[in-house]
Amino acid sequence: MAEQLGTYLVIACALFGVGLIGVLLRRNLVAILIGVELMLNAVIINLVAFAKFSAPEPVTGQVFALFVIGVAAAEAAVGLSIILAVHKARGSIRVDDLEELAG
Amino acid sequence: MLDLALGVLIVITFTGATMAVLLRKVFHNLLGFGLSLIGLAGISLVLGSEFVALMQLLIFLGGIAVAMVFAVMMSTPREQAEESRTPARVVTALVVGAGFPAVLAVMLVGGSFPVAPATEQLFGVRDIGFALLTRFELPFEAVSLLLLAAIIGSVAVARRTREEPSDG
Repeated sequence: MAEQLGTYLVIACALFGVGLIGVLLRRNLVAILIGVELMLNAVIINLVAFAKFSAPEPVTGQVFALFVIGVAAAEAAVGLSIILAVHKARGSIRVDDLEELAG
Repeated sequence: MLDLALGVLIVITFTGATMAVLLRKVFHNLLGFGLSLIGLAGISLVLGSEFVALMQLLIFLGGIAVAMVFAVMMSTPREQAEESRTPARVVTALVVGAGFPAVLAVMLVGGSFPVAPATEQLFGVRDIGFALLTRFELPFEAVSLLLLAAIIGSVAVARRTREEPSDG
């Protein structure tokens, strides 16, 4: 089981689904950000698994995974500061309260 | 042995991920997220990528999750922790969030991927560092620029509204 590519692909799929459920279900901005981070982690599993089982050079997949980690860090930093700014301006971080742009 | 370790890690990961998504209090979500990150780093370790596993622990758990704890402490009042869920929203989230990965998993398992022979010698930190500074030099510098822009941008965004809180 641990030596097959399909195992890890299914794990990554399921984790992506859990993150997607989080993004769609939750109404708290921090909880939505947690869902996005779970989806990014699913992508990292995929990259590392393909690096081990299917790549001519294993280093390439790991370098891609490192870039995904870096982009996730940048995204979390900007997202959290936006959340704090929204909280200071509105006093709430529920998406239901932020509907000025909704048609 | 590896199968047993992977099974335990899968249980840890999905217990944490379910807690991170389904519990109603954001702080409990964060605890589940941390648990899930530990399991994910373990899965990277099982896959033989020690450096990626360490970076996942360091950046996701030590950086992002801790920053989220601070954001939750500064932004979510205790009485607002419960959130309402309409049945329509729950059904939509479950259908989309379970259907899309189900379709994807069927396609992935049915498909075939080229399998390379195992090359253990290219997995070390030394090779990753070498690749980062030779073949992937340009993306490496681009990511460092992105991180710099993210730091400056997040400080600017978080500061501006503190000076004029009544705007909007």
